[in-house]
Amino acid sequence: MESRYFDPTSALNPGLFRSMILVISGIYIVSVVAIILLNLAKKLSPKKSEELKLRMISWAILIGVIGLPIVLGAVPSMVGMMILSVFCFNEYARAVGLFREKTMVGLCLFGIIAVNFAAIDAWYTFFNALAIQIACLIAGSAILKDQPKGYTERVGLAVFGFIFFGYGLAHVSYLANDTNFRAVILFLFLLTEMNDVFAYITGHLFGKEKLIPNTSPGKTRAGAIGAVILTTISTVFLGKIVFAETRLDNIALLLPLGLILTTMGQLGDLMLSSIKRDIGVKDLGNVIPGHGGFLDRFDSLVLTAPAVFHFLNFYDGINIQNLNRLITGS
Amino acid sequence: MSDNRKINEDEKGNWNLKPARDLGLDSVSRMKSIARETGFFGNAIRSIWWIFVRSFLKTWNHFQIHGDENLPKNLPLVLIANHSSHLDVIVLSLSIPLSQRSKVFALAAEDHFFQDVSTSAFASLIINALPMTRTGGGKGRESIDFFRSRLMTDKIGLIIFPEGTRSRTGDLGAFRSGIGNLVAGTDIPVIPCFISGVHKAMPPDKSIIKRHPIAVYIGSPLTFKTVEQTKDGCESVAEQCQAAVKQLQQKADTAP
Repeated sequence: MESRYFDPTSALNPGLFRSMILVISGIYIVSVVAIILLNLAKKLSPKKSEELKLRMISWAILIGVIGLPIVLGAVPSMVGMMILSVFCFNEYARAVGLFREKTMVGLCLFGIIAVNFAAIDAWYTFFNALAIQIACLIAGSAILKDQPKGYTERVGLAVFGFIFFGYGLAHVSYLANDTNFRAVILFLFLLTEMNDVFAYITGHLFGKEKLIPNTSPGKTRAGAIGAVILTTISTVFLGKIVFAETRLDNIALLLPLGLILTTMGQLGDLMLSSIKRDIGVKDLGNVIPGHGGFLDRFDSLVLTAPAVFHFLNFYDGINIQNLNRLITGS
Repeated sequence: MSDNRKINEDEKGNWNLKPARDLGLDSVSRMKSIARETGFFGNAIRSIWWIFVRSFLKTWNHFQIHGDENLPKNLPLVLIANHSSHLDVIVLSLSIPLSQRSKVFALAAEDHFFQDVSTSAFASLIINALPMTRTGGGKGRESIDFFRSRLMTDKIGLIIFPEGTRSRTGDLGAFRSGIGNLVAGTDIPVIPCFISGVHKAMPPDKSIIKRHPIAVYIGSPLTFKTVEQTKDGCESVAEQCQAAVKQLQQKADTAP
């Protein structure tokens, strides 16, 4: 068995992970200093300043909660990701009302456990097969209730929930099969979240024209453009460190990766905004002070995770051919 | 050519499913919310708890349910009973089929169970209780109206002890008229129940469960469709309910 699966001691050995930690703490300290300076210059309203303070405290806790399983090893990372995925699905189900349909919720949770099992097992064909097979299971089982009224709705909502919050987020779990998984997962989380932050900051500084007012009145064109530029630049710089001496250590590949990341990230954010607008709620939960629910924070990850996974897999491969199956292998 | 296509005025493409009523609340306010709806995790925790208490009461107290054929097949319903022990709410919850139990809430005194976080967590997560103000007046009336509409639209079940507090002697006291405000003028079935033996097994001043047989007697449903929701109407509902529970008590006393 590879030591990658559970080995906290190896976390600090590759210089890569250490530099990622330095980058994250650097960004955190810079943001705290920036907020303090803005406060001193009286550029922030008391309400905004209070909100930012709450957000930064929550970020400190989130970094710890996300970072710990990644330090521990690949299997804890995948289990942690599965738990996050269940929380996200639960929030979604409560928001759209799917949570009252016990069979649907049960099958989706079964699906989430199954895809994450496939990720831990490193069984790529099974992992991919589950996307359609769980959908079939949901559509098939929903017939048994013999209540055609609302069938499309129940099945549609359940398949949507499983595909995005189960199968989609499980791509982060599968990334943990990479030999360099710690740096790669942190790279994904960091850029996805920084993309949001960049859009927020540039939007507040230069934003005038609304981007998409009916879906999300707070978003501005300047924010979107600022995020595209800054995230792409950050992707290139971080990518140079994370993927040093691999095929991806190439600006011609890192530039499109950055563009994909920022586009999918912003679309993920707007996807959740659309859902919230459709239902007529502001936040999906109140678990993370200053941020809202888990989905309010990790909405962008739902779309960036599969996109980044397949990009990396296409150009560099995520060990898919070389891996031995952990549980079902001989 | 005949073509029967028509445009209905009330055509709306709305979803049937609605968001959780307690969406967006933080976890502590959720526990104390009268709009709480239980999710998958809560139900999973409670299922384990119910299996445990059921087997405990069956072996330790020879817990028995009489007359469960009187329970309507579907929700909504209101279960009412005499109240002389903390065990009452558990006994009544166990009389309802497990498949319905996640939608059956007990009304618990807000001043007693929903003050600090630990008791609120126990009352909401384990017992599935909703807070009820005992002071009466405006706030009490407001929450009764809220429960009335939840009974009708959400099709929930409620467990209510109309005496308002645990009887210190074990005798059946007068019923408060709040039950009338809840059901008068609706066809929500009220199921009278009598719980015997709990006062001996766990009286209000004790916190251990003694080995004494416990049984619940479920009576046939009452409805108050024609009763008006006035002061007199509500009092008559309370009296009828009390009489029905009293009748079950006599039946229980004569039972072998």
